[in-house]
Amino acid sequence: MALTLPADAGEPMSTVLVADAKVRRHEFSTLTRQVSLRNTGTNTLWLSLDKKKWFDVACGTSWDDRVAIRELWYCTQIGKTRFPLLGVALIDP
Amino acid sequence: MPYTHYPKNSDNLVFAWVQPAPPDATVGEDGPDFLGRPYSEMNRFKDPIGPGERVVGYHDAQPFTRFYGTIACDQPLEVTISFSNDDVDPEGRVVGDGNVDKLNYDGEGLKQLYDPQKQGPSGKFFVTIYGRFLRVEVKNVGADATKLLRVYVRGSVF
Repeated sequence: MALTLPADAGEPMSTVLVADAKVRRHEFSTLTRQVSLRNTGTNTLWLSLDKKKWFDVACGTSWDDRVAIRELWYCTQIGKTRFPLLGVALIDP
Repeated sequence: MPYTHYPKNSDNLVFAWVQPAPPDATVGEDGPDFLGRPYSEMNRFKDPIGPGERVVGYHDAQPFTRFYGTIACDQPLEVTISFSNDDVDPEGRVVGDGNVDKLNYDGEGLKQLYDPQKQGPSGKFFVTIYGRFLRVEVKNVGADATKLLRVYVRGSVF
């Protein structure tokens, strides 16, 4: 049977999260092949893929990368911010 | 998606004090939750502001370049927008939700004297940022407690 999907296609795992000053963890239902998010709130979002090293996502901007992760951590320095999060899961061929 | 490299926020409401407080909006099951939270979480109004009393809000100013908004009230108000450039509080702690009110708000960007009889000239404002953190104070300088209050502060990112 011919493969009808692009080679990099995947199942979407999307959600909308709210970050605040407490470090919170989000777990995807399975391993990702790509993660993207957009900080649609009014505060800077801080993100970590290993809970050790952190990077910031300014409000009104997006971040994405081809990372294989099961979980990520997020928080703000001050206040709250909302961000839609989309993880793309590998399709088992 | 806007076709531009400038950042844009779909959510830019920094503060809202709305009296009487509207009930929480109903969210349809077939579409997006456009507000993303109950309206009662967005509205900071809790009780009428008595004569000489004030309410204060603090927010990160860094994501924005300017703040704008509108004022409406049955009492005259003094709305003060000021900024702090402190990165730590007087004890040297990094600024967070628990100590943002302890900073020195030395930069007064605007002191607006709202007059209910002069809604046009006094019912709006627009101010650039002068610092890292924002403080907005709404003081009732009238003779009675507020019965109607609408103060909105929104942030512009460019």
